[in-house]
Amino acid sequence: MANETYSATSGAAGRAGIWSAIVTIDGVDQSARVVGDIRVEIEEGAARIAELTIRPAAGATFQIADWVGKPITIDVADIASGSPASVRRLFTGLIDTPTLDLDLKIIDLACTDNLQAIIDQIGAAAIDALTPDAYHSPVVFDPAATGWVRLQDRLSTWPATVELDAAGAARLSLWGAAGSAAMTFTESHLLDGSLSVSLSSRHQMVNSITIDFAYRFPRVKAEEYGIAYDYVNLGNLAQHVIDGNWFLRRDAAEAAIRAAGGTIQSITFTPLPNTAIGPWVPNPTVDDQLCMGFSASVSFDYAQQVVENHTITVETDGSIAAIGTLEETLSGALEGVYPPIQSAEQAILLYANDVSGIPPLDTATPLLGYTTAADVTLTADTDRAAANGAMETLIQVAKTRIWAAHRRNRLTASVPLNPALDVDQTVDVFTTNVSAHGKVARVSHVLSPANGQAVTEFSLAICSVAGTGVSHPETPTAPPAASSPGSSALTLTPTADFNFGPTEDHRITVTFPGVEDIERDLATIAIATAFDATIPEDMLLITL
Amino acid sequence: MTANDRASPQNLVDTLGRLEQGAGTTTLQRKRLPQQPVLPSIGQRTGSALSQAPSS
Repeated sequence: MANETYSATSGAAGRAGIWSAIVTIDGVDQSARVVGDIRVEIEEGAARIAELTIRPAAGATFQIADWVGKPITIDVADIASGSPASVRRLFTGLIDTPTLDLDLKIIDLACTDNLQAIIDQIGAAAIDALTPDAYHSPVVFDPAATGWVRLQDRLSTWPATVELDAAGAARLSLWGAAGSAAMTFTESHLLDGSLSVSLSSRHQMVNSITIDFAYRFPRVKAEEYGIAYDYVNLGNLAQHVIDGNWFLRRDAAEAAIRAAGGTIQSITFTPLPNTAIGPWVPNPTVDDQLCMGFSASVSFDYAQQVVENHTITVETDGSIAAIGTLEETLSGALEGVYPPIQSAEQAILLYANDVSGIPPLDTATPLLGYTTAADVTLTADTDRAAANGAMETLIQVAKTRIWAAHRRNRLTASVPLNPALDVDQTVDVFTTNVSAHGKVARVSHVLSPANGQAVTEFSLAICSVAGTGVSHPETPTAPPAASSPGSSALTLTPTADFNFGPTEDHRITVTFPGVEDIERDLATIAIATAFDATIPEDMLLITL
Repeated sequence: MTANDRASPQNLVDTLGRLEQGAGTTTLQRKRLPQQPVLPSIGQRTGSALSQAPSS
């Protein structure tokens, strides 16, 4: 492969490399004014920075405006032929902090590629487009967050980082190493003694994350009772009349039911006979206003608060088996936005009983002999989809944290400066004692014109815990199961009583059972779900 | 002091820390449900009406 070397620093055709740094500031070539080392630092998810020192011409005037915020580029070139060839960009950015040394008459320049400010400027839509697979939930993250903060929120849900490349263009770098490496370094490439390994501490690891997520919302309910009542029949009608008893008015029966708060779904009355029975003689003028009893279906509406307490476990079993359980917790909560429960209940009652023509937002469909329930219409920010989105986002945060914790191992080595090394590259390192395959996590180019050295130090992120070749399965991220509105049979029965005696008050009274506590009190539903979090096992074989 | 002294690793780390600050910091926060009033229980529902004799 040709990528392992760069002709300007490794030489070609049997000659040593001859390189030169080309530094422009505000479009003017200042290469001849550079003294000391030029350092370019590249790290995952961070601004690319450069440090260098400029010695202005003797007698030059220093003005702050000439330096702060001025664009700067750093290139490296092969000048073996006498003119720059194979020019490669190492840095594009701005001077952030010039430091003036009046004794030595030099200016140290700390430069940045302005990553944070550029991300702040590109807007939420562009950030989302830059991280298309990431998750985001306004329930989990600050919905007002923009720019750099929004990007960090999204990147916490996906194993990737965003940096600017050497030319200043934003790019997404996935944590996972590519299957085949872009560069394979062997002992012939690496500087002697530069290879080192830094391993992650166990206490820095996490392989089991428990997410507690509470979702509270109301459900509307309906119960429908059948009530049948007869206070007189054909067999005792004659005696009823002889005793001077009263007959029940149909409208009084309906009024009593409504006074109890019930909604009459249907009602049928037992009519008085149309033939004389003993002393009783039909009176067609009024008999159809009276009845010997009635049979009705009566419904009541109310609501109940429900809270789903989700316990979501995200684990990597292979890691737990290797190093034991290392736990973290996350939590979240969402409350469905709905009118106050008692206002909603009143709206249903008033509409059902024709007091109001304004329909309620939601009602449950009554079913005779049962309590039924229905989900309600919540705001888009607080409905089931929002809750699911929040839980999926938290699951992704957990998966990403576990992955991050397992990729803190670093293999570091140095090679003659190679501008192709960047944090979006996958690299193999094969020496007598070390075999490694991983993605570059950090690069440091150091150019020392004074002694002709130009070195690139790079670190590979090695994700490993159980050993090369071990696979850690993943459960795809999906919404945990939700509770659903159900129905339950009514166990108690209503009663009716008509005071028909000649000396009584002639009132019809109906009594319906109270709502059972389990149907009315806050319903707490525990839902447990488990997800497997995958991590790759990057190759790292070391022979001591 | 030379220019190289000034670009010491410690100075570089300090500069790196300042320029890179904020990476990885998210707005993720722990949340709990706020308290909510307990709904009143619904007891027996009784209604009555006077059944006046109709005039004929």
